[in-house]
Amino acid sequence: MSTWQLFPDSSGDGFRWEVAGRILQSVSDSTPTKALESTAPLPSMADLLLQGCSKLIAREEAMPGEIPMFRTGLGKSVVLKESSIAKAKSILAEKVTYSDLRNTNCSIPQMRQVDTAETLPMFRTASGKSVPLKESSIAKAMSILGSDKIIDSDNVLPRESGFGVSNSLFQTASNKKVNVSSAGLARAKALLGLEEDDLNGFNHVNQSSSSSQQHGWSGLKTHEEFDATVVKHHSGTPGQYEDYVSGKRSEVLNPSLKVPPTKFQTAGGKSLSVSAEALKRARNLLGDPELGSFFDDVAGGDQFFTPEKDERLSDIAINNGSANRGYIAHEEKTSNKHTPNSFVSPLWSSSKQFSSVNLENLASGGNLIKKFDAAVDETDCALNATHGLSNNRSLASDMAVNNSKVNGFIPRGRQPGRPADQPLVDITNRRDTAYAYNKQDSTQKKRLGKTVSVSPFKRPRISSFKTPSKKHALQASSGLSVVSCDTLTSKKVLSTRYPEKSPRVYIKDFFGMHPTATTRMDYVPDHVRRIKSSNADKYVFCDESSSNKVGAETFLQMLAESGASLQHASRKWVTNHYRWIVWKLACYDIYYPAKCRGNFLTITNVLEELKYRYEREVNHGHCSAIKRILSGDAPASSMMVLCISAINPKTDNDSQEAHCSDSCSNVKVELTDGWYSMNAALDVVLTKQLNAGKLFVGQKLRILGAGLSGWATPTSPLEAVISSTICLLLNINGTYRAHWADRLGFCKEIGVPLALNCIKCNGGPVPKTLAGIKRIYPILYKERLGEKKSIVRSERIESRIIQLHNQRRSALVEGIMCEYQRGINGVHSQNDTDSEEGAKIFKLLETAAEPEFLMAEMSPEQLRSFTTYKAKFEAAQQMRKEKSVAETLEDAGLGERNVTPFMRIRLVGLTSLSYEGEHNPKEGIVTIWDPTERQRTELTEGKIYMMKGLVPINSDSEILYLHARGSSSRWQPLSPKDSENFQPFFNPRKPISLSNLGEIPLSSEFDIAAYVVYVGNAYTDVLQKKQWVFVTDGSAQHSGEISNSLLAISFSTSFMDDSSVSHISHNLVGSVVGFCNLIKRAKDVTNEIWVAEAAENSVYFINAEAAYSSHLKTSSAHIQTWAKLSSSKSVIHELRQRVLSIIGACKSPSC
Amino acid sequence: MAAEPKAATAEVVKMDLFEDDDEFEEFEINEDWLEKEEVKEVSQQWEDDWDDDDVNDDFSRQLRKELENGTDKK
Repeated sequence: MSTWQLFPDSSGDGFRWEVAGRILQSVSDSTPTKALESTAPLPSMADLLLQGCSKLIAREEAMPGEIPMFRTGLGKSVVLKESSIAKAKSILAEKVTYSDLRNTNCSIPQMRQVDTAETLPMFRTASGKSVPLKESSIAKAMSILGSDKIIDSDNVLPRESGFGVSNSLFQTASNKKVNVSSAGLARAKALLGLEEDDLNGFNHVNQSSSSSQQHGWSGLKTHEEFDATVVKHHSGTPGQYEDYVSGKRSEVLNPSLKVPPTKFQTAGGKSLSVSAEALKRARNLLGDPELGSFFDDVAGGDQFFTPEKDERLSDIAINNGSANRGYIAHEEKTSNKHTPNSFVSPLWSSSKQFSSVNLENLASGGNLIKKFDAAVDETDCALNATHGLSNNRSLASDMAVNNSKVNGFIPRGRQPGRPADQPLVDITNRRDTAYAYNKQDSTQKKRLGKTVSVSPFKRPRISSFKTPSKKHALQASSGLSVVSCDTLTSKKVLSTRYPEKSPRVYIKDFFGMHPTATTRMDYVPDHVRRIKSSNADKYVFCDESSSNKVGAETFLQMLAESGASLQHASRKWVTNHYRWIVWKLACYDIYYPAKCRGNFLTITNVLEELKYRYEREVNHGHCSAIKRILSGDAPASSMMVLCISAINPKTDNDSQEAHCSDSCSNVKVELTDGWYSMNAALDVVLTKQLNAGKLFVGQKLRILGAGLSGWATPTSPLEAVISSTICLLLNINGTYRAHWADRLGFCKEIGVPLALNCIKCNGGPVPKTLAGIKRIYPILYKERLGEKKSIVRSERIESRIIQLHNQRRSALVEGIMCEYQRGINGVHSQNDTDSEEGAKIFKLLETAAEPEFLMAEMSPEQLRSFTTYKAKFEAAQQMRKEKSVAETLEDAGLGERNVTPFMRIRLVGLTSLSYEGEHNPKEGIVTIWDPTERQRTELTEGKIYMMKGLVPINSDSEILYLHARGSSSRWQPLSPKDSENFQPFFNPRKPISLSNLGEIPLSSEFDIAAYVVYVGNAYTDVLQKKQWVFVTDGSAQHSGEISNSLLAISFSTSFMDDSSVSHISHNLVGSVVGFCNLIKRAKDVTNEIWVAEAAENSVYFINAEAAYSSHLKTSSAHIQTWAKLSSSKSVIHELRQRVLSIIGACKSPSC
Repeated sequence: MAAEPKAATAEVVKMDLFEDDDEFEEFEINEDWLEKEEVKEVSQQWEDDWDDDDVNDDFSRQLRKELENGTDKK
């Protein structure tokens, strides 16, 4: 094999290439190309030779006329430009004529540049990048220049003068040569600013048809490579070029291209390649052998594209990006009509939504359609593909190719003959043609067993072929004419009342008053008045004309006669809906007798409503809230409005009900969304409300955050109503009374937060609430000390505990390690029995005086066994050590501590500004366990927050206690603007002085900066250790009185805690300290001393700069100044004496 | 009521008269959407306390009364 070799330059500064063998083989069009026996520049030469050449040689036979290609070590293709080769040759001083090079068919875009003064002809951008040219680009240039003599002809026209190469190397879709006039090229040249020399390169480009060749090769590779290549080309080409590529795709098609495998796009945007074999298998599995021929024959159906079967497509030769574009053209048509479900080519998804579809001058496009039609005829599947041709090359007009329709399937026999322009039905089993009605269309993905047309291809049940955003984007962006609801051609339209033709008034405006506003019930006959939700299904109309009894069964027949499928409008289905319709109409007649005059509950109305429901549910795939919940399509926690239809509903399974009543003693109600019903268990508080008569049949409930019990798998609401196992779990904190005219079902609007005042402490989780933050307390740490024992510590003490804990651990570990080191020989000697060579060597080396010498003499095997043994030994040793340490620490009570940080937040309920009643806001304290960093830093006192995920704690306290986990709760601040809608609730922290401490109510919290006069000794009091700290602030001394100038603060810590860390240091005496969240206690009148308690939430700061006590900064400074005064010193001394006298008299000031 | 609506005539289908409360709107329940929507400001809160009896326009009591009356008449 010939190869390149690198030799030092004669100058010694560089290198030069020399060939060891033949370099290039001149090829002609008629003879197969020899393998290129040269290589690309270093360092990949060896790789190229090994990989590229061998592969190319292997392909040589399969692809006559193709040029060889090189690959890098990573498998990427490396292509050679003929200019490069020419340069190489010139360097090598070989006399190879340029014409020899022109057939090397190298791809320019990936060509490596050779930095040389003698740059060969090439297009370059301003930044010096090479501009790849495809023949289509040149064709476009020519067309712009008005020389688009692209002729569909097999005749290769004679070469134009001025070109060294044939310009007939453009190929049409049918693989015909295309002649380009010299005038056209000259114009192109002028446009592109090329000199004659450049055109040589230009010709080369024309001839090399880089992309097509490359794709020819890529056909043997994976599709990903194919795509990647295309993308590369795109990235390197200007936009208009791309447009042209798509517009002219069919003109530059190359039959030799392997069509990429079918690509599906997952909801996550990933693409899946599906081979033809897989499709075949799927087809077989789906049991429709007839379709096989269709798929095989019509590889380019609107949703399928089987690459291997492209014989028929070969009329449309595909070249370069056009391969995908050709596919995309169909894709686009599909997406225009099929809403979201067509498979999207990955390329398409990332490229322009509007691909110009220019089928001008192309018979091949028509041929494809014929193929489709032919295939459809053969398979008896209706197929419609009406193609319009757009002659305008502008993007806008290309976008307007809206007359290309979708290809699809309809079941055999349903549509035996198809008019030429009639659109086709959706291939899928989806029902979402509803977008044509501007309705949401994405909820039909899980409907099973209700298609009228049996689709030959069923989508995976939960799969979505496009993400919602893409779906909408496609819909929105298509801008193309949409054929409305073609699928309905295969479904019998039962009701024309959906979609709504003209807007009607809503029930609220129609009736204008709630149902009991009128009480005249004279119109209503007794048999109507007796209708309840539980017996409405048994109601029977008396047909006056025929004196027949018309009940649910008769309506079933009527529906069937109207064309309803009994598969969907089953007896159960009809009976269920009949029940709710009759109950509703009867209620109208009863409660709005004046307006209804007893005319609502009629056979016509019932039938029309049944048809409407059939239309929506069966034909449009819409599902009511309860059906969606039971089928698993929607979470039960979503906000919805349901109506109580029965209380303590009877079930068919009474024993089960009895059994259930043992476990869940709560009362059950039956709730309906007007279409279906399900049971709901009330919590204790709701049960109380039920007993108080506030929950009754007909009451609508707005439910948010409901649970779902007994649901395991998707269940039909027709089945669920029979079994009583599935029920909603309602909590009063998520259940609110709704307006009588509220629309039933899921609520589109956002759930309104429940006022803090309305939260019941035993009413279950609060889905949302709104409250102001009054106070944020410092982070605390709770350490669990076994069962039911725990200590709460402040951050200060916790950090000391951690420090102490670590010190003790280190000391212990150190001791263990020392002992371990001493015992290491013993451990080792135990292992001495190991007969492994490694162990022996290890021992030998360990005892040797100069192990280096020994090691130097060891054989590689010995060294290896030694290393292995040593590694094993060390690992085992490490493990033993760790285990031993862990055990010892555990035994010493110094194991891992179980500490959870938490923070408490005091909330206050809000009152609307417009509220004129008594303002009595409720307060609550939330404990956030494991607060997130954001919660720690961003929550701000005085702001209003909307909170999710709070759970109240049942207590008798006036204050509502709630808890939440940091990660699962959400705190969202309300904007200042919206906060203005509520009455002010916040009293900012301010420093209190002893002189005005009397204004603070007992048990209230206050913050104070004070001078520490005396720190008492810690003492034990029952289960707590206590310590008194006496402070003053100088505020009461102006009168010369020292009474009421002392504040005694009681600190208490848990008895279990280590006293060495928990007590207040005596060093504090003489310093000014900021105390926050002290609780005012009853004054010691005897000693005239103020008393306060430092509770869990209290905190003190020695540093006045601390953010938490920043409001005490000024007063701290004042006190500091005061304390330095000589007059103050005597006062302080006097106060200290006073304290000593008090604590000398008794143990604490309260004595 | 000056103009008696067409409801009085049996020929008119009830469905054409007004939009019922069970004519639900079909839309996607999307958790992300809910989260996103929540960014919208909230300027009101739900203050219907079950313990308050004067809420809901006395609808509850009246309807209950009617229902009780209806039961008695049976």
